[in-house]
Amino acid sequence: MIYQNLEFSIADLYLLWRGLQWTLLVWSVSMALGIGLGFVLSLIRHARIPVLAQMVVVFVETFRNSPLLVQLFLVFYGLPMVTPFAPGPAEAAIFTLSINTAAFTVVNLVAALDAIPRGQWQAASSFGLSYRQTMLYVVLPQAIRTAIPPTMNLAISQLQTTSLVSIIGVTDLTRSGLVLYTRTLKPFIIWPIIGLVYFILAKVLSLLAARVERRLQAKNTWFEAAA
Amino acid sequence: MIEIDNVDKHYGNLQVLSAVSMQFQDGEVTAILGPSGAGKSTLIRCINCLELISQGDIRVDGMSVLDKHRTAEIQKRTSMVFQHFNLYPHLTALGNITLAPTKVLRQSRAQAEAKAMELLKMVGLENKAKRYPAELSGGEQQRVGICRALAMNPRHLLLDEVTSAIDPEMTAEVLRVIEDLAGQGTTMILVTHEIEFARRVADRVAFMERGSLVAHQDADTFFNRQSDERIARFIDKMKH
Repeated sequence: MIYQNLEFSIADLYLLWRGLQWTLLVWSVSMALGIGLGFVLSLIRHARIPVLAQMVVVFVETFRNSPLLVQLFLVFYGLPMVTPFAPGPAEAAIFTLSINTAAFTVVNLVAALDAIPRGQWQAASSFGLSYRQTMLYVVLPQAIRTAIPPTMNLAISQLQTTSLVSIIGVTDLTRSGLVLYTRTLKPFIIWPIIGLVYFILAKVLSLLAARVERRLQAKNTWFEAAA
Repeated sequence: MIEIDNVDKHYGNLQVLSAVSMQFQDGEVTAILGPSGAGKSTLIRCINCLELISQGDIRVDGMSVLDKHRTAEIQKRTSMVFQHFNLYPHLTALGNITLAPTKVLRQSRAQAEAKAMELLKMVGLENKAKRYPAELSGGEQQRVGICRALAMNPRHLLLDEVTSAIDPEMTAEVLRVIEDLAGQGTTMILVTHEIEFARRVADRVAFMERGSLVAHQDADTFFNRQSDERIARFIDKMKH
């Protein structure tokens, strides 16, 4: 007879804790890298640098219009076949999520940059500020404030999306749930707990986001006047 | 001195300036009058290199706007006050005024702020230095706009319909500032619809219509001994 431990133990809590750590690691690193990369790509796109700007558009359209899971498979299984790189599950997960996040960040930031009225550019340029100075001191401070709320929403939704990395073998929160489920065969205990942890994380983040947004609004009554 | 030499400007098929030639002498206040769409604003935007001319040449103190290497220097010498203010909404009045002096003229912050406070005092806004544009009325924003332009110590001040986006009861405070500047001998080119104001401050008047310069005369001749029937009618109409 095959022995199977159908009961939960204290050790299972540790398994969940490790899973949570992986989820947070994959999420935070890929958010940081993705938003950073997205920022640089947005500047290239907005400056309409020939060839590079078109490449950014193709990149963005590709990654925002295809399922993340397909992107994950492509990187994890596909990359070793065509390149010398064979990423492990965590590397593949972080790489893919970063790229995916970068694509959406470009959408948000380019929209915010494009929304800066022409008059702002004209005023700065009429006083002799260079493109770089205008960007740095006039346009970006305004555009970043516009892009903060959608970027925070993106970060919250990407947190849920990280659960997909369990499929390529990252031992994140979802994968820990899968492990416990296959051992105990108690889905209606395991999945609500896993779901609740994601819920709490997302709720904390969105409360934080709402607070930041409120402060931005309170501080920047000027913002409506910008248009 | 600003020399406009046979300038054409078109957007696609639309001709906005055609064969405009005129000169603006240092120390003079010139009002550019004319019906809407005459190309008045376009002309001063071309002087400031905000728009490219299609034909001819504009020289600011001898430097051609066609010479890309001179653009920065021309923009340093010609400061613009905009119809819609175009203040930087994320900066205070003080921040708006000191940005270009610190970044373009490389003045120290203390020096730029001292100058800015002096200018704000001149326009009666020294107690609004820390306010953001959205916290100021239209008239106050435009006075900050004038300070921002003057902080660059421009040789030529270009004013583009600076009162037309302001509530009528607040235009007086802006016009008073410009009148003071005119009295101090600042070189100014002002595009305006305020004909009475032009009569008070302008040394010379340029009249434009459909992209062409129709008349460029001293103010006395323009207003008091106008021989051109059409211009006389325009002046008469604008009075009411």
